[in-house]
Amino acid sequence: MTTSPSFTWTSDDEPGRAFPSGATYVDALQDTALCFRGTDLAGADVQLDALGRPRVISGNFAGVFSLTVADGTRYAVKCFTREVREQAARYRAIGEHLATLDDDWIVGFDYVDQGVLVEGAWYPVLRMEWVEGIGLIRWIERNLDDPAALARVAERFADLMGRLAAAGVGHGDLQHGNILVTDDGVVKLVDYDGMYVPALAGMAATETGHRNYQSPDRTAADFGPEVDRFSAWVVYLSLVALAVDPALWKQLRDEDAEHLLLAEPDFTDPAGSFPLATLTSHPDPGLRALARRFEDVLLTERAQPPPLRPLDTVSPGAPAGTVLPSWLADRLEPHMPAPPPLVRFAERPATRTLASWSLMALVPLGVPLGLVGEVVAAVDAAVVVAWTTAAYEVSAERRGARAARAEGRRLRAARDAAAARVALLEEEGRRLAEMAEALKEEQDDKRRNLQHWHNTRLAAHRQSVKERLDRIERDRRAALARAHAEEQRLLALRQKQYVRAELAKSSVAEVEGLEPAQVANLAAVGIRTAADFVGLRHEPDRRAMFVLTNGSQMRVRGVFTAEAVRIDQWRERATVAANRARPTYLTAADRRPFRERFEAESAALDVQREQVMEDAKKGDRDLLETLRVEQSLLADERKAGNTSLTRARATHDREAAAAARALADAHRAASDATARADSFHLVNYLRYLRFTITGKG
Amino acid sequence: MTYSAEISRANPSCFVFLVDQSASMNDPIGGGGQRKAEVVADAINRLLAELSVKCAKEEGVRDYFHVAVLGYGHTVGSAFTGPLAGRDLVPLSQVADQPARVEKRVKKVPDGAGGLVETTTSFPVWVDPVANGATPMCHALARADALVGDWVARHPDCFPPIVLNLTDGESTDGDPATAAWAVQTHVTADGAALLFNLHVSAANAVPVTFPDTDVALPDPYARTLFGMSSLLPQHMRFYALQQGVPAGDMARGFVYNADITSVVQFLDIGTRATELR
Ligand SMILES: Nc1ncnc2c1ncn2[C@@H]1O[C@H](COP(=O)(O)OP(=O)(O)OP(=O)(O)O)[C@@H](O)[C@H]1O
Repeated sequence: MTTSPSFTWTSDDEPGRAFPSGATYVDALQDTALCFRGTDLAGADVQLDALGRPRVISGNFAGVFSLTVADGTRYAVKCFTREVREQAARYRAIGEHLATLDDDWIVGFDYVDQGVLVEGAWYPVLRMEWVEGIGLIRWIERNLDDPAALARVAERFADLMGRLAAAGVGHGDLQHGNILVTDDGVVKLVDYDGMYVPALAGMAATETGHRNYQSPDRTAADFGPEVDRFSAWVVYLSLVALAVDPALWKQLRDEDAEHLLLAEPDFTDPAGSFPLATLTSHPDPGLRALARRFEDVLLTERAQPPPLRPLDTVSPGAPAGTVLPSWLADRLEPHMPAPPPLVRFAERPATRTLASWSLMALVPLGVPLGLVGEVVAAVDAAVVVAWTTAAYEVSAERRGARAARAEGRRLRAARDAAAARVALLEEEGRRLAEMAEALKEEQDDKRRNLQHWHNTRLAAHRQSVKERLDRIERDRRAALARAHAEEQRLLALRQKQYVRAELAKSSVAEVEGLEPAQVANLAAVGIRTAADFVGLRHEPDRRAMFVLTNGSQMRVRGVFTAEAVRIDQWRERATVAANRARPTYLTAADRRPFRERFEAESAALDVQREQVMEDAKKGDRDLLETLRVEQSLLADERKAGNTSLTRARATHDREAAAAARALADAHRAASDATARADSFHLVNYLRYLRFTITGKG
Repeated sequence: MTYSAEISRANPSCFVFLVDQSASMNDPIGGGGQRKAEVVADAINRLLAELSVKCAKEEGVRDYFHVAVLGYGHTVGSAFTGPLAGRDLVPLSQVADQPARVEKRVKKVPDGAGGLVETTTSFPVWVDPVANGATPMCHALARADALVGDWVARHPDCFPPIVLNLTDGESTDGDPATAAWAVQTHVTADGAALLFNLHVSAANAVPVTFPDTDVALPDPYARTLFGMSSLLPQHMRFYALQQGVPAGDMARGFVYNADITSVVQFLDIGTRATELR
């Protein structure tokens, strides 16, 4: 690939100044009174596009607008989208140098420092004469049916290169977009951003040109009058090739490609270049020689190409009108060669013929006449055979036949080898496709697995959080239940206290029919109110005993069972009445301690809960983070896998295409060779004998 | 070297824009009165205009790129309005020729002499501001993933596709990181597909352009989007530097409340600039 070391910008430099973008200029140029205020272009008419916005031609560094001022003069105004260091100084030097030349390729310009106002800031513009010309690619496309015009422009171009060199000027970015051809066939160069003139010696280039026109070795340090040499070869070779054979335009390049007949890949890998091979083997000798010369440049002088050496004359070929589109041309055999004429014996070596004759004549004559013995005849026959065989073997035809057959065998073997390679590559292609499929499946699996593990981990994490939350809720419910139970216990106590207090307010004297003495006796044992005893205890045949609050039992003098029962019934009635009126809930004061304790416990649980939630969130985050890390690793792995696979595929596709081409060539070569060998099928010994004798080939 | 393939009509690349159209885009952007949906629609229209200008040549706009604009909100689908409505990848020349309308916008600009003047510019519109529904960012990224995968299969040598996501970051259908990485696993012979993010935020935080860490980013959404964004290829960093944006070695294609149209300027078509070393 092409990288170019830089001398213009390093990270230590101050950051550059932001320049407006192309669209920002389009906005600004909608008001030429404002954006060109105070300059000659103020209020100029800008050419508009279909949407009614200024029409721009964009390059990589600038946009060019067409502006017409009041007096009708039309300018090309170049607005820069990137800062170029020392641009003004460069343009000044270029302008001064060009002013000393008077040449028709030059487009006059003014570099205006305060050229255009965009969003409140001034930027430079380059105001140029408008060139009524069209870019080289479009010009070629319009002139494919006029090889003479192509040849003329090729010559003019070569001439122009010579004049540039003589003037010590290097354009720096020769390419189709910067070479405009006018109606009368004059070649104009535009875009002087990267131009070298002698005053700029020692500076570095600001750009390294268009990739499809430059040596892969070009760097920013290559900045001098020789800077155009490589691109000159590229342009000239293409123009000559098209003048000779316009059909090449469609055969060698994709429609819409951004280059002439050759492009960057042809420069980096000349050996693998189909276009270059086509040109170096072209039937036209001039073109072939030129192409081979350029191939040499590529192979041996790429970094420092020699100056262009144009052909003496370019002979225009037939127009491209009848040419098949390249996709179709590919499918048709270029020609079905007529089989080569049959080879026959042509020349009889005089002495050998004579000798053969005499030897052969002897045998039929001599044997029956007895002039020669049978042995002699046999020897003679053997000599004839040996003699003629030897002569046959060294005959040009026999040698030719042998060579042709050997060549045929060799080329058929080469064809088989090429076919085997194609098959091998097809197999490899299938393997690559399978690998891609497998890789994709494996990666999808891994991705699913990651997600699955993550889900599992997440579920486990959430489960444990849930358990902790459940426990907290359980504790909270337990605290509440405890508080409730304690309140109930206190309530029961309070109720008992109330009943006792109520009963204590009564007096046994209230019991109907009791004598004061009996009351006194009761009081004597401590029974004054319903609160002082809890019941009776009956024993057979004896008086009932009172059971006191403290559990002791005693009989009361003068109080018999019947009265005791009445007293007890009185107590029970009082108890029932007191129970009915007892409190059913606790007072706020009684309840407060329980409430407070529960609230404290609950608050502690809230803190715990908060903590758990916090932990839960962190856990979620951590798990997600883990997942992301794993996924990004997996994505990297996948990217790496895809990258190496894509590389392998690209290499494979290239090799497969080359192999297919090689096979087609080998096929053709083998069948040509077979035909050539076949053309010798009349060359054999018997025919040679006949030829020797009769002279008929 | 990666990210150096020639971009040409014979070997075009593609752009997939993803536009957040969720209800949250109704909120104003940090520090300004404009709604996020408007900011994002303006950004996308500007990007499309910029791309068209970038590829405009003598005879018109060239199909150096095919462009899709997908909106995600209550649905996920083409965000084009007007003649291109409903389409996904569209050749750039058709995009350039067929905006829904060209609006006249009046604004006050400095007159260069210390004052302000009113001027009118026409502004082509392809995408309108929309804000409703949730934010199915994962779904949108999955659509981008499919478009990019298909493109890469058909153009194995092209400059890698660029996916540019414009959002306020609050994905509602899961963690977008996974889907984001999936997009970036598609590779051509020239490198992996690129994912860039523009984060428009209601927070009034300092705008950030092509940062190389997420420490200065104000919220987890921004950090997530930062983490999802591709490293800027080196030639893009070079142009960023040239434009005065200090983009470090690890700078990511992430912009927070700032302009992202510059990525279009970063694309190299034609003559090569001398490169940063
Ligand atoms: N003086 C002119 N008259 C007419 N057309 C012009 C003129 N200058 C430039 N152009 C057109 O504008 C196009 C872009 O201009 P130019 O090459 O100067 O821009 P650039 O940004 O330097 O481009 P590049 O990427 O080719 O270096 C040219 O290809 C040509 O078609």
